[in-house]
Amino acid sequence: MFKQLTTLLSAALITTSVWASPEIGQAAPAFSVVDSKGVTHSLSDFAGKIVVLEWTNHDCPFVKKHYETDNMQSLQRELTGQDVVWLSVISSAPGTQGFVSPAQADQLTASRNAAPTAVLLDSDGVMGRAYDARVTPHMYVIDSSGALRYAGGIDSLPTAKHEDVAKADPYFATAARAVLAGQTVERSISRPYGCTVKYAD
Amino acid sequence: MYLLRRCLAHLVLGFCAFPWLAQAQVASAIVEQPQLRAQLLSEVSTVTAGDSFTVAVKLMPDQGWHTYWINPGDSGLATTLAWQLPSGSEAGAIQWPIAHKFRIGPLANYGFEGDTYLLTDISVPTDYAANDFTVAVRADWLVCEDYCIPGFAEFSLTLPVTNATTVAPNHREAFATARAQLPEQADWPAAFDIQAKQVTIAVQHGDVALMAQDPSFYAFVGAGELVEHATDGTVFVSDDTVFIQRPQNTFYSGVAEQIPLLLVTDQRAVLITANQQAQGQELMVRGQPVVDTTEALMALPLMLLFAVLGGLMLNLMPCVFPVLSLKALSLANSGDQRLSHALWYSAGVIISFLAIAAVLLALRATGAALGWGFQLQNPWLIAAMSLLFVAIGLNLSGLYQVATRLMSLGSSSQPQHGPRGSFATGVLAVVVASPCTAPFMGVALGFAIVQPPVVALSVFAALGFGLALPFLLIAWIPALANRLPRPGLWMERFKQWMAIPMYLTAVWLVWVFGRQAGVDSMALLLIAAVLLATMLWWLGLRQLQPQPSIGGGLLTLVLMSLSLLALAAALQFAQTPSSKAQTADSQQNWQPWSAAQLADLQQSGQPVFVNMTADWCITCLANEKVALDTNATRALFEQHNIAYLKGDWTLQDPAITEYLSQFSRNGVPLYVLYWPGQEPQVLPQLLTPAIVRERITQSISAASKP
Repeated sequence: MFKQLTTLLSAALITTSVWASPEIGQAAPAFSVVDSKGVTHSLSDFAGKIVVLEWTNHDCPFVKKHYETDNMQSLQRELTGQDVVWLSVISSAPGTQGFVSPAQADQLTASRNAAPTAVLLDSDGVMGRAYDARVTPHMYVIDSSGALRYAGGIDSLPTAKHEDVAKADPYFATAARAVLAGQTVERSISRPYGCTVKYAD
Repeated sequence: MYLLRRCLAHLVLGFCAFPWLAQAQVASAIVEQPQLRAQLLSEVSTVTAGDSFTVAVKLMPDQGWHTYWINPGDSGLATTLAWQLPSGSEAGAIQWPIAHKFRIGPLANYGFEGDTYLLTDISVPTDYAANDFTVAVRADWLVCEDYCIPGFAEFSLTLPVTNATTVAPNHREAFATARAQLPEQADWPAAFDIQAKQVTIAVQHGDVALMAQDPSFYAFVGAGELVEHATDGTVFVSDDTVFIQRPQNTFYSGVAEQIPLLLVTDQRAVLITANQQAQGQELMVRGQPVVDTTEALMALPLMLLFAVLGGLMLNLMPCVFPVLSLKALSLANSGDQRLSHALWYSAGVIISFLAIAAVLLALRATGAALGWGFQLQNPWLIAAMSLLFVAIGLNLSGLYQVATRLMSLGSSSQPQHGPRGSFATGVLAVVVASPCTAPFMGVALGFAIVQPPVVALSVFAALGFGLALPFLLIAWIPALANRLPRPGLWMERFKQWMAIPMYLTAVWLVWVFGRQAGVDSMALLLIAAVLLATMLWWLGLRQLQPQPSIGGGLLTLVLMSLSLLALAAALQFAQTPSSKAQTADSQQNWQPWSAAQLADLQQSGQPVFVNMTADWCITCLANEKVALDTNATRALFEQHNIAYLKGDWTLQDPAITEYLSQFSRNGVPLYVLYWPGQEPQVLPQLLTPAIVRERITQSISAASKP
């Protein structure tokens, strides 16, 4: 009996999740992060605009899948062309895979012909943890009122195979287009798949 | 050159496969990929049509690198195998080895380090006619250390087809190693539900209760994005049930109805299947479900047939047979009126069953949780029935003769009472049968209770028909009646023997009463029984006297009054049980919730704790076991004189639904603490003893402030 009780009490102490939980329909967590050009961006700067967040790590095979097939870049062009703010976020800690200097970040954008509004360098992982970003690529859509409307994977096929891009159900793109059209997002949460975000411990 | 080298290697093991001779190819070449080497192995060197065999994809990651389990955790990817087999042949699911948990910063993954065998069973079609059988597979994996590299390999093996499957001797060890890495499989009942963003999994088995005591116990949930992986969550054991509570995954977007659950300690690993607990469904853990799905799917005609058979069986029950067998004899002797008597009797039986069904359905509609034998939940009825059975028993023993109308309905051998008498016997038969039905008819009635009213009524009518069937048969086939033995002394002896089941039934009823009302009340009921027996004995003596004295009659009345007085006292005790009697005897420290009861208690200025629960709610069950039905919480409630009301929403009682909506809830559990002079406080949906204690302490300190 005593043993049961102690197990219980100790277990009760560790139940609390270490994660903040961003919630669909609720205000998206605030952030303030410097980009590759040295400009600080806050969520509040984009009031009235739709914001897309893309967690990335250029060496991750799952990120490569979507860049080498031009899937990510075409989504960036499609959405930024409609006044959507697209922020690519790198939360890799210094010394880990995906960590880049500001110059390297710009060079990656140029060499991959990418079109984000800005590349945010979140090397301390504060923004990543606020959004509970777990993998790269991990996608979020925030509507013009600042509410989170989509969080999850880029599409339905959790593989690193390039040929699966065309076969997959594009969950993120469908959600972003729905928010743009002022419609309800049918699937607002999906499985985020990819490489672990390389957070600082 | 390669073949020669392989052959030489095999020679050391005492085996040399000459592929160009035997055509057997039991291992593929090793495919080298970054950080991982892979190979396909067959356990057999020849296959047979109609048989099945096992192959293994062996993954050999570099030191420190791992591949993933069926649920990879927060990131990663489960290894997939895509088979290409001769048509008609099938590959089973991957038999996953025991998983390990890897922590990566704030995240966690599930997978395998070191040499990993992914076993798969392959079936060979029975009509397979070719000379050889080719197994081809593409394996896709993600191999990770801190970062990940996707890889794949394509393998194929060609095995000769012979009359018998031959085990490849040089793979015995590898397959033995592979099987040693597999968890045991078990069919322990397990269910999970999600309430308030918490996933509660309940597993019921003595073994799991033991495993959970081990500090190394961990439950691997085989579904992505159901639970959070990095946190260990809470595990607690209550008797033979283990409750595992984990926060719901942030990226939860639905889950299958059945999920694999891998329970692991340092000593043991067991793979089971957990079912999602749906609202209103019978709880899958905690004993046998009353309504099995197979029964629910059973066609109505079959159910009706069972009900008729069940009713027929009731005739043989000890609490029915003595009365009915006597009635059968009287019926057999009633000549031309037989048919009319039998029909009236049947009508009495069937209408009584229908009446009970109608009452049951009406009560069900009001939301009370009832089953057959619900009348046995009322202590009044139980006490009265136990005395009735004592009286019937004493009568059968021959202590006294029955002069009352009631008993003459059953035992009279003169059928002059006409249709009314026969009808009343039918009614009596049902009343007398009720204590015997519950254990035997549980399944059929359990089915009926959850069915639409028409179906439920049909089942009850069929039961009644079954009970009346022997009488109808005797009436219709006079030859049958003629075969019945003639009344005589044997019948008197038979009747006396039949008293014994009556006494036993009385003992059972007294026991049920004792469980409900406590030992004190039970003693009073037994006193009532003694007084009743004395009275009946006295009555019997007087029946033997040609001219009974008036004084004797008075004594009968006095004894009867005393007996009734004792009965009333027993029930009085049962209705207002003192708190002492409660703690001494029964574990129940709550009263059923009703809006009126709650209002009364609030009026009286007593603090009240309300618990809204349902039998199918695992979270509710877990909370009760962990935080409410504990000695500490009982003591706390008693110490502060807190009334504990429990509402049962198992059948979605509308009154409770309305109460829940007051707190903007549409489901259970709901816990509310009412403290005089304070707003009602809603407690979290996941309780710990600490939370309950804390809230009570807060209310006390708030009350003591001016």
